Formats: sequence, structure tokens, C-alpha cells
Amino acid sequence: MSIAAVERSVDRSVVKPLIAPKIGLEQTSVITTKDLSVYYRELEAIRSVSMTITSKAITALIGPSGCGKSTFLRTLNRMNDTVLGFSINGEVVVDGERIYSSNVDTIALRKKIGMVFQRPNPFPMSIIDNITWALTFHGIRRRDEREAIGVESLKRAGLWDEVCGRLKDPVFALSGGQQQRLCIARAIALQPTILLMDEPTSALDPIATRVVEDLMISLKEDYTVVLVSHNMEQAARVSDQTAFFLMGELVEYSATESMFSNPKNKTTEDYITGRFG
Amino acid sequence: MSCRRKFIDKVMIFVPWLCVVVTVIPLISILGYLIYKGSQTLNVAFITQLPKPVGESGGGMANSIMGTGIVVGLAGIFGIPIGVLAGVYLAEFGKHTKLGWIVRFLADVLQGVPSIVIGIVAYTVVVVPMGNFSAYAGAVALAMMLIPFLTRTTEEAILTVPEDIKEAGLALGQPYWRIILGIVLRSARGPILTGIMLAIARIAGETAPLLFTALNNRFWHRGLNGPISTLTVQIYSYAIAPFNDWNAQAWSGALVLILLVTLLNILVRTVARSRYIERS
Repeated sequence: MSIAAVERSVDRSVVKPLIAPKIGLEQTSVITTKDLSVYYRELEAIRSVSMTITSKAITALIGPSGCGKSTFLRTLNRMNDTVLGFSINGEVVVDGERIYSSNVDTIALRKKIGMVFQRPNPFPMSIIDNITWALTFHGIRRRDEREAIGVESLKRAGLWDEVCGRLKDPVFALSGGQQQRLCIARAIALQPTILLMDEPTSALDPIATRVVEDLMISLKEDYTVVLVSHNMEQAARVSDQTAFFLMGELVEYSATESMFSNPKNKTTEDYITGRFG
Repeated sequence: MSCRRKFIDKVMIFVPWLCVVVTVIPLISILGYLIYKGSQTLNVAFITQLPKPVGESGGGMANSIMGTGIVVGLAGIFGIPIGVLAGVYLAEFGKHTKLGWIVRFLADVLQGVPSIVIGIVAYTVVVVPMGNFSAYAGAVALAMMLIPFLTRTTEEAILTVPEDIKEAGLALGQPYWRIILGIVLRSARGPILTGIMLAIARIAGETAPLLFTALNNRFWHRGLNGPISTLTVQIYSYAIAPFNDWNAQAWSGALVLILLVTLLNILVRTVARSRYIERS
């Protein structure tokens, strides 16, 4: 089926088309860390963090700059492996598998754990190729099949209506907010079960931020979302669980509602009420 | 005060403008003179016929035009993959390594080696063992000139590719080789192709490395494992010959060479233009 054929067959009244029927996102992913410490050479960026991230929910990691929240996030899909002098202590377990043991296939791991970055980072290709490029390697040999998945992902990311007529256009014709949603579409096209988002709205204007936040909330029905945010209002708006990091340590981790209304820790309270940070 | 500021402003605009004129004048005058002198004996016979025996007028440099194409093409086949991949190595893997440092240093040194020396090296390592002058030997000599230049250009080009799109590839569960081929080289392809063009243009105009590798040939070459004529060597031998019509034909040869290089340049630029690369 060509793109045009897919376009024709789309029923516009379907609000939320699923990309998942084949895989069935019944399966859920749970991330657990046990006494996780992360070092960059001698510098201890994360100190002995133990937490369990629940599935099909948004877990926000908040804290001031340099507190280790991004490092923690990037440790979850081994993106720090290429950083010079990186080493860890303790365990990260995803779906019962220790992801830092030596026999782990990082390629399969990263296919399961999607990631969205701080700044939109689309590839210098056409809009549709941005999504289909990665699929080729993951065994989807037929072009029309890849493009169908691309279309579904664009719909899921709420970008379809804006780009449906110009899938072959260069990606730089899109605005920053659209590019970021394209990056989200690219990530979910691989049908991951976990989505890591590293301050995904920090480079976007308020309207685009709103769109991406709505998208996050709709994504949590299917995915385990871990969100790093600088913006406490955002964390309060979208997340179910919030973890507060400070100086590499996990200070407080609880349901978002109770953290923001009734923080147990004095430092957390100072931070979320804006007394520092 | 404002009067003085305006004056300085004018001067500052005038100076670079003047520099442009000074740079362009010799270029245009060389081209103009070349067209003027070269077009006098340039005709269909010149690009379709073999050189005539001494004493006979007419004839052309068809064999040399073809020879230049063959030798430069072979040099590209030998040199471009090595040069580009060495550049990939330097930019992606050899950034802080000792081997990277050595390769980078040697590439810089090799770029500064006089081309006649490169010719001698190719003579020693190819012509002597093989026992005869050949297109291969000429191509090896030219490739030796092309590789270090291309290595450094490719390295520079790849270093401009932002780190975050490589991370995007990694996060999508892609192996590193695929990120390099699909993302990095694609993003850097404009500057890399420009580098290849510059390198081709440069080696197409080389004479010294070919003098005792490809030698020369007044007839069509017989296979790549034998002496072959090239435009530059032919121009050289015609220019120093004591015959007026040969001298005139040397001018035409130079004009053809320039036209070929320009044509190739335009062609590659048109083909290489990608609408998916963000232009700054």
C-alpha cells in the first residue's frame, strides 16, 4: 500500500488510531534501580538511588540543574555508555533483566526504550524518512509497510493533520514544536514500551508545550513515560509520580499530588515552593 | 563625527571589494587568454583524432583526453574510499587516540610533499616491480595526492555534524555503522563532495607525478597496464616542442582540461544538492 493509499483509507473520525495491534501493548514495563550510583571519572553524579518506576504512568524527575536527573534518565537506556569515564555501581532492572550485565544487547534494549531529547533532533531527511529509516534495520523490509507504520506513528503523535500532504518535504520545513512531535513519532514507531523524555518541551513555546504535554498524557495509556522536567508546573500538570533529585540523591519520591500538596521533606518543600533552585 | 564614521564605513566596504577585484583579475585574465589562444586550434578533430606524426599538421588529443579521464577516474576509485573512510576514522574514532594523532599528522605532511616526489615513489613501488609504465602507476601516484587532502576534508566535514542527531540514532536502537553511513555521511555529504571535487580538479591538473608513471603515448593506450597519454603530460610535451602548431595545440589542450574540470564540478554540484539538508 502506498502512502496515498493509506491516506485514502484513513477514517478521519477515528480519534486515536493505534499502532499497537500487532504487538499488543498489554505488556507493561517496570524499571527498578537498586543502589544505583553513577560516576563520571571520580565525580559521583548519582548516589545510591533505589526506585521503582511504575508502568503506564508518567514519572517526573525534578530537581535543580546538575542534580543528576538527566544522568539518571540516560542511564536507563544506556545512553551514557559512550561518555568518557562513565561507570556505574548497583543495578538497573528493566522487566526483570539487568541491563548493565555484559550480555545485554543494547540495540534491542534501546528499541524497547524510546527516547526524546531536550532539543528536537530530526535527521536531515524527509519527514516520512525520519520515521522509516530506523525501521529498516529492525527488520521491516518492505517500504510500504514502513511507511504505513510511519503514518500511524504520525497520527499517534498528533502530527498527521499538519504534515499529511507533505510527507516527502524536508524536515526543516517544520516548526520546532512539530519537529519535537516528529521525534516522538519516530520514537514510538519502534513500538517501545518505555518512553524516556529529557525535558522535551524546554526548547518549545508555550503553545507547542501544551500540545506536547497533551500528547504525553495520551501516551501514558500505552507507555511507561519517564519525564525529566525543569518546570515544576509541568511536572504537577502531567505526572502521576514525582521524584525529587538533589545533588545526585533521590530526596523524595511519591505520588505527584501528595508531593506538591504535602511534601514530606523540608528540602523538597523549599524547592517546589521556589525558595531555591 | 558622524561624517567621519560614514567615511570609515565607506573605506571598510571598499577595501574588501578591492581585494575581490585584485583576486579576480588574474583569474579572469588567465581564463580569457586561455580561451583566446586555445580556441584557435580547437575543433572537432582536436577532440576526436590522434596526434599526427611530426611534420604533419592537424590531428588532436583524443587519446590524452580519454587518458586523463581514465587515470583520474582510477585514482578516484583507489583514493576516494580510502580518503573518506580515513576521514571517518579520524572524526569518529581517532579523536583522542595516539593512532588518530599520527594519521592526522602524516596526512598533513603528505599534503605538503612535492608532487614530483610522489611520482618518484609511485615509480619505485609500482613501475619498477611491474616492469613497465602504466595507467595504474599514474593512478596510484594521483591517489597518493588525493587521499591526505580528502581525509582531512572529510574529517572536518564530519566534525560539523551535530552530536545530537547521532544520539537520536543510538536511541533508536541503531548500530553505530548504520548511524555513520545513514546519518553522519548523509549530513556531511555536501562538504565531502566539495572536497572530492576539489581533489579531482587538483589531480587532473597534475603533470609531475605522471611523467614517469603513466609516461605518455602518441596512440590509444593498450590496456591499463601500459603507458597512457594524459592531457597534462601531452600539454607539457607539446608546449616545449619546437613546432608552432604543437604549441598552439598545447593551448587548446589546456582549454579542454579546464572545461572538463569545470563541467565535472557543475555536474556534481547539481547532482549532490540535497533538499533535505538545512542550509545556513
